[in-house]
Amino acid sequence: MNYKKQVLDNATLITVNLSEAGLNQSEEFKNFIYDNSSASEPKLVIDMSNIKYMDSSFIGALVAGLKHVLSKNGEMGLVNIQDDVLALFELTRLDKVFKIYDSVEDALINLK
Amino acid sequence: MGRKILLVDDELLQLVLMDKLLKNAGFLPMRANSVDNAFKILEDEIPDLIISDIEMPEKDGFDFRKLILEDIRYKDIPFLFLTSHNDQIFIQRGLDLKAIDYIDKDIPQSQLLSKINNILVTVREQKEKSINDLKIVADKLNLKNVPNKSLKLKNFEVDFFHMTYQNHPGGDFIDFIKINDRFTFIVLGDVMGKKWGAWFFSFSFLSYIRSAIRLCVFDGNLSVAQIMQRINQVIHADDFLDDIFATLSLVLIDDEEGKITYSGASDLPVLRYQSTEKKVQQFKSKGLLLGFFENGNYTEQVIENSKGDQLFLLTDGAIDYESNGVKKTDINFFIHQLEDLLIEKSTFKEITTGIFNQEKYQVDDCSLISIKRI
Repeated sequence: MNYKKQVLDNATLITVNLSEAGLNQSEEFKNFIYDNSSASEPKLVIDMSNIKYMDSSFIGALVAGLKHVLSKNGEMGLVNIQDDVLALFELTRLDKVFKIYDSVEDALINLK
Repeated sequence: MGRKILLVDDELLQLVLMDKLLKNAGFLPMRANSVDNAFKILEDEIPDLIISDIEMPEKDGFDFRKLILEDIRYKDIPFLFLTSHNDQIFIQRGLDLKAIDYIDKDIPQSQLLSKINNILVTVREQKEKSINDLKIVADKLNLKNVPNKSLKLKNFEVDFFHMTYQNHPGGDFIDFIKINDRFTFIVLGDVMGKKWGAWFFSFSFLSYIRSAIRLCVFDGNLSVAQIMQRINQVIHADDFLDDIFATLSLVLIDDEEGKITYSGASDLPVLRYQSTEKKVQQFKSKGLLLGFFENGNYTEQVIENSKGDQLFLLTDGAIDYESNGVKKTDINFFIHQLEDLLIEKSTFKEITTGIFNQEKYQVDDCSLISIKRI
């Protein structure tokens, strides 16, 4: 399974088990986020520690997922982003779109 | 680039032999010793052909084929049964499951390779025919997301390079909008996604961008930041584009003053090469992805330029590449290559052939625009 879900006390932790995240996985990933944010005010933490490369299709799915979560007054945080992926996020200001944290614990403290 | 073939067989010896045969013939085989392992590979990589054994423990080849046909992501991958069974009932069962062919394991190697080659050539020709048919229709409807030719102004030469991904149109779009002899807008956008899906939406984005520019100009507004905000507002309000996002670089050339003003939405930095300094510098914008927020925080900056200076706008496909089977995104590598070519006084054609060559396999459609002060 490319995505693992873990229900925590106040949030759902989704771990992405992909080293290269691209077009082939983007639709499935978007639906996975939608499926796990059906409750009101969903709180999602996405663990991206395995992702070494991400293409624009997958980023698009991630952004669509965030928009869906925000439309339900929820929150989504990204954690453990590898340096190359983080550099791309910073270069394209996606670090201003997403809430990014160093660890799952950090995200759980900061997401209201 | 070799064609990828997924081999599925529980017999290790058979897998190794086939792997060697296909590698020697220039293919890129991927091996799975069970149906479950085959699906693990498929989650990461879509092959050009699947060759599967029939008799396997737990799930057999027929089960595998049924599961493949049920999955929209995989159902169109050409599928070949390779087996020691030559029983007519087995053959019929395989063909009923829309397998392209059914081949005996004892077939001479040269014949097997010919069959594989023929299948791949036929599939490719069919695909190219479908793409060409669609391209003809798109051309007839005047659906173009890149200009026909480069642009020559009094003080600037504007060139562009656009490369599709695997011969499919993609989400990159380019437009040159000449308002009058003085003002010209240069548009470079990228709809997030690949291939046809992104291509389809690129026309919606282009329509909004063209309209917003024209309407703002009619109102006497030539601020690229304000035009960007206008574009963002209409895209944000459009439910049809609810989960589709795009990046955008918007440049206004004032040919009379020799002035360049730039605003960007989650785009890559504009690069400027100063011929006197022989250095490439980055100009980053602050704006956010088109359509995500009602207010995308767009700003604009004037990029100073002198005779001989050259500006470059690019999409992410230009900095994404695959090397030794590993995909990477590296703008610094791109800048380094560009700088070397510019120091050598390379033409735009030499730059693009120097950077986007076969050594570095591109993994997305990519675009590069050059604005040269003359």
